[in-house]
Amino acid sequence: MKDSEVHSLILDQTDEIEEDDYRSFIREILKHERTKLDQDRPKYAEKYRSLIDSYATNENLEDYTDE
Amino acid sequence: MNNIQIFNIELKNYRQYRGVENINLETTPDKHINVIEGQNGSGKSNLLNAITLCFYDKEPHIDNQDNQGLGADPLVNLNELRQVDVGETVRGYIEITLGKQEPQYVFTRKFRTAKTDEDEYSSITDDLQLRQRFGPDWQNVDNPNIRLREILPTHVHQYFLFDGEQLDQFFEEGYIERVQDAVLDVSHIQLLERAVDHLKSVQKDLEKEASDVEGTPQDLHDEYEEAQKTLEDLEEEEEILEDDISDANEEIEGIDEELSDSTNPDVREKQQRRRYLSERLEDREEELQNAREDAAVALARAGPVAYNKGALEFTLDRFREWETSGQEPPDIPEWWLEQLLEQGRCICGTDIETEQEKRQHLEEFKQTVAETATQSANGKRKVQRALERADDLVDVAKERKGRVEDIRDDIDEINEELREISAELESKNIPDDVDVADLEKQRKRIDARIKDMREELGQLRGKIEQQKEEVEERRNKWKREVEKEKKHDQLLRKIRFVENARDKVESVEAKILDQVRNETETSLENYFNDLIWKEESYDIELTEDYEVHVYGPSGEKKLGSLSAGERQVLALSFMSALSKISGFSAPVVIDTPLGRISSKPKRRIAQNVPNYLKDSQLTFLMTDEEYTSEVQAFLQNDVAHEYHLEYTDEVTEVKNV
Repeated sequence: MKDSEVHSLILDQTDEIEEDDYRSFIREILKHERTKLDQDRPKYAEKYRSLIDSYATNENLEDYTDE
Repeated sequence: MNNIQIFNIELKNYRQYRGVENINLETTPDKHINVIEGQNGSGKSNLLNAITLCFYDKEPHIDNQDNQGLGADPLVNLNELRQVDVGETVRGYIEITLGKQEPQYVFTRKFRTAKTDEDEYSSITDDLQLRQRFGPDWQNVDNPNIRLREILPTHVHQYFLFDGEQLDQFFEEGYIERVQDAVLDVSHIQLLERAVDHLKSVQKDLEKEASDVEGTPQDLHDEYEEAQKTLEDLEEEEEILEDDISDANEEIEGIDEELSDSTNPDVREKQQRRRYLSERLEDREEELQNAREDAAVALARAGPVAYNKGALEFTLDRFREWETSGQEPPDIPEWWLEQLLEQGRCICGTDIETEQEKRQHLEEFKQTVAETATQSANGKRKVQRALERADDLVDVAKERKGRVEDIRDDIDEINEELREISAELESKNIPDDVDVADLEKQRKRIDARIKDMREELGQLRGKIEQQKEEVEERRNKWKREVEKEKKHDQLLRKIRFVENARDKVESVEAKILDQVRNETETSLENYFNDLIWKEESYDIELTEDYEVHVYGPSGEKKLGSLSAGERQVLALSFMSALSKISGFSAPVVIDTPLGRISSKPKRRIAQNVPNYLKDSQLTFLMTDEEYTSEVQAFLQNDVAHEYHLEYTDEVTEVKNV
């Protein structure tokens, strides 16, 4: 494993998430957090908002609107 | 060997190692252990420090024999420093070669110590350097720390490079927190915790945004519909009124027909005249409307000039005065000034070829005169033209106003004549004819009613126009609210997405914690049973609260009741479990692994060591008391290299055994 990578234990668990959007979104935010792990108060809001905009689209949330 | 191993350590002038010492540590799968033996204070801990200094610029391992700590001594060998004068510097380095089957990386950290006074020194270290093998070539790598982090990052090196003797303290009071921190550390749980915290924070921001754009489109739609309904009612009223007017007009037409059928020629003639006048009135009223519009346009054009005529005349007078008094820039032609510049001589006789400053003045003057004269001439022309046009525009406005008045007079006359005709017809009393007077009275009444209705219709149409604007305004307001609502819906979807994602991350976190705890427990138990000198098998439990319970054949053995040796084996096993879970395949270097273990168990541990961490390169830094002949005998088949550290006159030499 490279230090820059997310631990395989975490990746194995996230791989088990069935919904593609959630799986990809979570992997992206973990990858982002991994690059900032050595910082005490890393910036995140902009990255998160941009990922949410990409993944939380109307189409892929249809299934959740009535929850 | 598939895991990374240390092929070689080369030290130059590092602490008690004087000159160059080269230690070959290459191992094979069959022989995966190195032993470096030396008495206390001979430099074993400093070998571990040499590795951490080279990689991480740190020396955390204090030799128990050195009460002053490392900070008291210079990095460079003291004997070397004694050979130089105050103000001089001695250099050294640590070079570590790493690789799997063959050397792949050479990490180097250089350092130097300056002799600042007799027995006073100042040491500094350089940045880490790396040469890496690419095929047959070795090349310098720009960012060695990045490569090092891929092999053995700072945060996990303590589970690979550690002091066995210090491990004894690991399972003393307060160990639960240490165990928990270590497990969370190697499993990157912090990564998931941060993701959850950040998702929470982003969700909060989205919720605030959503509350800001939460609209009331239904209420506004109701208001829009209400306005639309009012408009429809008004339009319905308009339609009824138009029908009434139409009916009334038909009634009048009926009366007019009856009057036209009168036997009296005067009545018929008046009726005909009235028909003509009515048509003419209609035309003139239309003309009046157009003439009024034309007059309004003409007045709008003439007004500003006419109202400011005095001011414009005053401005023109001032222009003329300036022109007469010579205050206005002369209309000097540009070509004439050009000519002077070309000839190189001013009109006053100055040679402007030689006097550059004068030439520059003339050029600037040419520019200023040209601009001012142009502006002044333009300004005067514009004012003059405006004044000339003012009269024309006022004339046009007056003429149009006159036309309006003419038409109005004409209309007044037509109306007057119509009133007269009506009055005359009303007074007629013709026997054996239609009742002209009565018909005319009816006609007059209906006509009055039509006028009232037309006035009412005019007001109604005004209301309708206003209502249409109101409907449009409410419709736009409602549509804007719908847009807001759409944005609100989108934000709600995003919030739901973030909420679900957070649930999933929290679920992953819970599963990983459980998995890591279980794997740590299993590895800890396996390593402990591999190393412990007892015949019987032990069960080890790592609880959800990170408490460690050791169960022997006779039940639980409290940690406090474990011997120092057992505690050290437990800690050694825990470190090994963590190194395995960390996911890194780095070499393991342990200082004083058996330091706390008495002779009989030591022999048994030595018996088991060959199976311990079989896939990793293991380098033991042992005291002569640890590395007894019995231990040596148990390890000999698995040992690749064995060295003895010989410490004489403050200098350690590495001897191959």
